[in-house]
Amino acid sequence: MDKLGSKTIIGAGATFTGKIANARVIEVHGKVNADLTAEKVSIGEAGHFNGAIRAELVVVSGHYEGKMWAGSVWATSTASISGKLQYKTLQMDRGAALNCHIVHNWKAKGGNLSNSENSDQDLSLLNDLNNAKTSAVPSSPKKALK
Amino acid sequence: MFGKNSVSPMAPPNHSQINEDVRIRGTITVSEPLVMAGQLEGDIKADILHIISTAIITGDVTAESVTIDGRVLGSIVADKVYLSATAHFEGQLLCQGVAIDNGAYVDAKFTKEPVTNG
Amino acid sequence: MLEKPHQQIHNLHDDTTYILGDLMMEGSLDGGNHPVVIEGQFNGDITAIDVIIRENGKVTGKVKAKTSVIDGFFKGNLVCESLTISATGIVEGDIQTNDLSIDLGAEVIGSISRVNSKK
Repeated sequence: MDKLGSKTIIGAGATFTGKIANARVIEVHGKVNADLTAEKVSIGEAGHFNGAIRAELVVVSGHYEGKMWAGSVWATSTASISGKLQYKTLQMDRGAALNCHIVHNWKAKGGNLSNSENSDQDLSLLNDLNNAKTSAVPSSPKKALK
Repeated sequence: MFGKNSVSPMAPPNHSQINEDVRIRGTITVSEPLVMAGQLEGDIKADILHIISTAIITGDVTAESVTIDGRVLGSIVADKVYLSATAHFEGQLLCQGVAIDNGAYVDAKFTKEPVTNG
Repeated sequence: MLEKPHQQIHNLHDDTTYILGDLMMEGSLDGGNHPVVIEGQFNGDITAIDVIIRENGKVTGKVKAKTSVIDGFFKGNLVCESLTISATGIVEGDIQTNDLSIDLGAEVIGSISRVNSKK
């Protein structure tokens, strides 16, 4: 009971289609077709998430398709992301497959996310920025932007 | 008389008992606790009622507290109702509290309203 | 049968779908091969092997399950093989089940009928 008391989990094999509200921490190991606003979202290796995500922290180890606005994104080696990804910080492990539109939002001095600051960046440049955090970041799937 | 049936554990010593070989067509009204083992075509109005496993009641049951081990086809109006594993109940239930054990056969409408009983 | 559904709660593993206390979900959920535990709010359809509605849980809609344990609130249509409504359960609607257990204190309004192939 208390072991699972801290987060919402969509288990492996489960499928949900609909709307989710008030999520704080949510872990997806199954299939979710929904739009979601949360603090932390984790898509497990077997997880499939289809829909919009707005979150502070998103960890993707499985499939994601949709539009994501996140503070911190970590795409692990089994991640597969397609759609659009707007992030502040991004870590991508070797093996992650990013087939999406990646947009970097810097927080404007005033503290607001400003969409007009959109800048499409080369993946290799992103990797350089994250080098301090990342252990193995080669010049892997470069130019996967579509 | 107090026959071969097992005495209801919840009924105090002075209770009425209707044996399993008794068949009644009509209405039973009783103010003492009643252990019903027989068959009734008609209504029962009781205080504390125990319908044991051999009983078959086709009609309405009104009681304060009723324990059902047998068969009731009709409506039950009571404060407290307990359906044990051998109970078979079809009809309507109007009560304040109900407990049902695994194994009971239930096919009924449940409603909840204050029981207007003096 | 297996251990009582209430005991299963303590043995939940990571494949259980678990809907937390303040979460609100609306839509259609299929639990796959694992239990679904709801502590938050769910409106819509649930199909699962085990459905456990915890005391704070609120489910409105249609539920189809093998076993159901209701400690909280359920309103709607429920079809399951085995149902347990605990003392804190509040159930409103139409229930179809063949194996029923209701604890004293539960509130049940609606109809309880059998799952019959004969009808």
